[in-house]
Amino acid sequence: MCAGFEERIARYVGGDLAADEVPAVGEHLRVCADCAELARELEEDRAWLASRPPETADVDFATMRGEIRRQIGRPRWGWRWIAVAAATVLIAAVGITVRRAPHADRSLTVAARKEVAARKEVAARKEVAARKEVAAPQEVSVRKEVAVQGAPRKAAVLPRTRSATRGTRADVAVRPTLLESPVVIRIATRDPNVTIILLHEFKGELE
Amino acid sequence: MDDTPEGTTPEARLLKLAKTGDLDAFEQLVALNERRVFALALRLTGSMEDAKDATQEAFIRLHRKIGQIDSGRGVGPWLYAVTLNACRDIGRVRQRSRLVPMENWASLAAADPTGDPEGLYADMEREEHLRTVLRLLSEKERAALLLREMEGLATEEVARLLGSSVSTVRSQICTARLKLRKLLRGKL
Repeated sequence: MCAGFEERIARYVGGDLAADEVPAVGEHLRVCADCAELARELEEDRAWLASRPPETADVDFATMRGEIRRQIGRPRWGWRWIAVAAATVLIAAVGITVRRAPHADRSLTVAARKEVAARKEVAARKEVAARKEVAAPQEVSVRKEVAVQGAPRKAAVLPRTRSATRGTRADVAVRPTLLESPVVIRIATRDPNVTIILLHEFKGELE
Repeated sequence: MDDTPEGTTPEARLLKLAKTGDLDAFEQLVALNERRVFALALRLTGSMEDAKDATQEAFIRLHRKIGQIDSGRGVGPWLYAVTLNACRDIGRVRQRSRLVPMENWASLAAADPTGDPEGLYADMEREEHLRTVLRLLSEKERAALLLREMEGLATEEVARLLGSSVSTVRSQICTARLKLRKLLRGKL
């Protein structure tokens, strides 16, 4: 095989070689037996590729056609349809929500609207008052338990304090110098099910 | 798969009818092209079963796109494109067998009792050898070579179908020819 000719011959046999190179390759094939053999084999392969595979005769194309027809006649539920269905459901749901949402009745007269507003204001005041009642300060009893290692526990009652909010929190002001460490503070609330236990241990120097 | 003016060939007339939703016309269009599509798919995939599935899938995809087909250019370019894609998709999900199923040989011999069984077997063996060798080429080389040599498409058309430049495709075809020659003759 002549160097530089292999690729050009491969293009030449398929008619892909540039027109200005064709005469030179043609002339070379006349004088070079190896390159002529290469060209012959490439032509043989091309003819083989152009032929139809023998198995083509063995396929039941009528059945295949029937299956194709069955498939194309069937509705396709692809992603597009799913998206359209989902969008439809969403729009319907939003529509129902909007219709059910409370809104001002525009058909009322000015006087009627004022009356409605006044009623709402009274109701709001009552609600605020009820909330204040619920949030009224509650007393809680606070006991101090002082645990001393190796000694029986001592318990002392601290001054009563008022809860800051609704009985589950207690604002306990205790001077640390009065306490020994560790300190356990048990806070009993009005609710028998709620007891708050604080465990405090002082570290470092106390003032 | 001829490129002829609209309405001048049976294919063009069938395409026009198929575009209106005429399923009989579409089926006739399938009948006109099925053997060629199957043959291409067989060499692209290397398997009878895959080729059957790819052929079926190609025509189903063609039907979905039928409204977009330019009647002047015919179904050819679309059909090649959907066949290539169907073969590629099937090739990705299937494990292909390199053996020739015996039932293929038996049914082929039965289909042509007057023919020479030895000759048929030799043809099948030769064809199977070709397909085995084609699988050793890269996907792009195989597709470019088959579209050029088997379907006789111009290099420019092959480049368009494969989404590559003409020079790239020309080079791929040239490389594939040389590789195929060596592989077929055990020189590689």
